[in-house]
Amino acid sequence: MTTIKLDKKYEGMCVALVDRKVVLYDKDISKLTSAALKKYPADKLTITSVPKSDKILIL
Amino acid sequence: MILDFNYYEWQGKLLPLVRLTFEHSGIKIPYLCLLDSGAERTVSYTVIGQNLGIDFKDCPVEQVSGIGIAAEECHKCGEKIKMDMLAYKKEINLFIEGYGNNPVPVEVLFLIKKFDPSSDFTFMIGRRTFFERFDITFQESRKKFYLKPV
Repeated sequence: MTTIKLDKKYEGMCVALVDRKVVLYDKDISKLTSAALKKYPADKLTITSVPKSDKILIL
Repeated sequence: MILDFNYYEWQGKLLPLVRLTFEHSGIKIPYLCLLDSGAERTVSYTVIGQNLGIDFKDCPVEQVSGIGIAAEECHKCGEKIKMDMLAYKKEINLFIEGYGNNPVPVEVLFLIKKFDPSSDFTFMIGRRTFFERFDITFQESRKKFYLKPV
């Protein structure tokens, strides 16, 4: 199992991860993506959102 | 060849998440994506497509409905009414870690809706096209899943 532990402050944000750690975050995914791609090579990065943990996933 | 992946412990939930790199018009962006075997289609959002350089003006539009992604509430007259959503349909390539430089074409429905990171995943990978290219086994007891190219 792969564990990514995120601080509560990232909930509701978009985050850029490098080595499973948050390196950038923003509410706006376009701003985040643009900044992250300028700063880090794509093969090291992962972009994702952090849905609030109290929400039940119904997919 | 069988690719194996661990479930992610993500905000207190165990989820079959996989890092996939999407490519369009020379732009490559890696996203953490949710494999959703219950979904027929792969779904994302127009803003994410635009970040990949997609111009949606020539893309066909489809109506999408389903629990969780399509249920918006309309409070007119105090009633809650489910509304369908519109989405642009576009085929793009993705790359999977451990699968070399083999592009996997996948049809994505980009929802014409504001992306809300407090409730939305960037990509939810559904069965059409992606699950047709891989036999996918979920092994809940080991918190793993496996992709075998067909």
